[in-house]
Amino acid sequence: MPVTDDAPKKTVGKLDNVPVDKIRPNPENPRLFFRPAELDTLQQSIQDKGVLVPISVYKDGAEYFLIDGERRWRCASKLNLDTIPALVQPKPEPLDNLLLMYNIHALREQWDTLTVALKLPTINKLLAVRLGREPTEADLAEATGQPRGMIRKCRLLTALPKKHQNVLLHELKKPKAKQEIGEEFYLEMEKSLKVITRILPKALQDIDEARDKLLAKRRAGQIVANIDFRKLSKMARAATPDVFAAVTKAIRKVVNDESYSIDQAWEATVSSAVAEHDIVVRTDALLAKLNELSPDRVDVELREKLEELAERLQQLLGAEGD
Amino acid sequence: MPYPFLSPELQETADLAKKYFAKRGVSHFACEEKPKVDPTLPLRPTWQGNTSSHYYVYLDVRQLLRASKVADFVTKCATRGYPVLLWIVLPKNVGPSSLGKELKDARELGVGVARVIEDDTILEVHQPLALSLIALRCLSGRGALTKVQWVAVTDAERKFLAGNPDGACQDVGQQLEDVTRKFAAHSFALNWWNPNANPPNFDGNWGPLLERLEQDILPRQVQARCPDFKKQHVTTVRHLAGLRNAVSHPPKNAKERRERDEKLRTMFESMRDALVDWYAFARVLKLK
Repeated sequence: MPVTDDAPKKTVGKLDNVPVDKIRPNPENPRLFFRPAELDTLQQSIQDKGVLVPISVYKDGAEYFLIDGERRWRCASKLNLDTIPALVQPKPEPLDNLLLMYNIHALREQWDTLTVALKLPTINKLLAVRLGREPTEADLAEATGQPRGMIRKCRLLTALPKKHQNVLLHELKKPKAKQEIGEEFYLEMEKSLKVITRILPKALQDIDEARDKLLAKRRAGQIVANIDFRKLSKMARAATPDVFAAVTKAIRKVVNDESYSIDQAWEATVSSAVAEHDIVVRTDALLAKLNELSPDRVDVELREKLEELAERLQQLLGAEGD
Repeated sequence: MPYPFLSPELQETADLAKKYFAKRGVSHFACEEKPKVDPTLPLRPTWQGNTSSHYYVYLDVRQLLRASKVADFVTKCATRGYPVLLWIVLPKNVGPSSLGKELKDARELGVGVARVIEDDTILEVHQPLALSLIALRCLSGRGALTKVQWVAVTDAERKFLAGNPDGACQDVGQQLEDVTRKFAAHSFALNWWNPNANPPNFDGNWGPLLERLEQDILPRQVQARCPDFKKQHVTTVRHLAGLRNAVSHPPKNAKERRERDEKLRTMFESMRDALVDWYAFARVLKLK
């Protein structure tokens, strides 16, 4: 938990055996999916050895609500156990309830990003009340125990239109190996669309329509790897005024032409310019190193390499001279 | 349907399973609740319902078959004589080739296996046995039986475990009747009966014939050829013949179903044990 004056006070729980039927899942648990394979292994362990680590709950009226241990509780219910060992804690404030779960799980297995993301607006709202100002990315990261990169990813996913969030939710219900569209697809696509709309605002007239078309291309296998979207971002970044129009046209074609791939657009526009730029950057770095070198420190091996380089440069520059 | 515990990716399978078994006559479905037959059993099935013949049908939807995971549940049901038919229902992506040994384990435990196939229908890979019947004490070896006798007895056991206990009892009863009739005629011809006894009607009703046999057989005469023979062997068969009537009426509720299955199991075991004894006598006496 974040150590601030506003942080919740430390509370001591009481260990008890709680009737399984009196426990309810926490309505604020960001985690939506419990995959059968994970539950299967845990169920076997509980069947063999019982629940070795108590779950955490808080009591509200006659019922107990889970803070931590939903998988253990589900398995105990499936095995029809009467009670389960639980650390019974006082009922937390709504924000602390959410943050408790984030912090517990930040130390354990990876959640699906979307499930983390969907609860983030609530945390944002409640944290804003507690802090008296709009929380920054750093505030959210500190409060939830998640890295800032994760908060950025969450923001990208919460900004997605509902229908695309539903596409992802549908996919996340499947086992990882069976998912056609993963979170990485949307994360890479959104980052890329953000860069394009910032640098080439005229390239995409309707961003939502672009999402639909790119999703269809991914499903049809026209976009093979999620990281292909990085090439679209690079195209936008590399677009100098003389190729603005060509890059804009190519990006439009990627979106609108079902058979036109990102690789084709890349090769047709900025591929050679990016390669040249890469050589310039590397040459600058090499020159800086060579300038630090005195002739007496050039050994045989280095001399051979430099001679090879000089020969190649002469060929290139000589050819240009011809 | 909101499932309290089932993983979302298995919920479609659970919906299809419920629909399929409803069409097959299962009713009064309850979702992920404590087992109605006994709330202390170690499994909350995905769905539980009843058949019109008063069996509890439990459908457990799982990603993997792993029959060993329900072994504890099966053992408890079997030893307590609960009339439960347990199915494990698998989702579409589980092919039969991946089931292998698990399928064999499930069959041995009496657990039925069904899976969803491509057109979203349910395929019954194999049917469950009523767990109230499964704890049958099977014969461990052929002993004194001839091959033909052994086949007849084990066929009846198979029929019993395949869910036809009435038919199995009927088969064993018929064999018992045949062998005791032959024994009665043979022993009478050899003057092993009371010398003052009138000849009985050997082709008449079985009951009166057994009564005459019990009354007039001279065990010492028989024991000269079959040392293990006792009058009690005839008494046992007479008793078992009477028991057949006790299970001839269909059960009206689950309690009666449980009692009836218990009687059927006991009756089958007793009839089968008696038949083995009588087959031994028939072998010694070369009865054909």
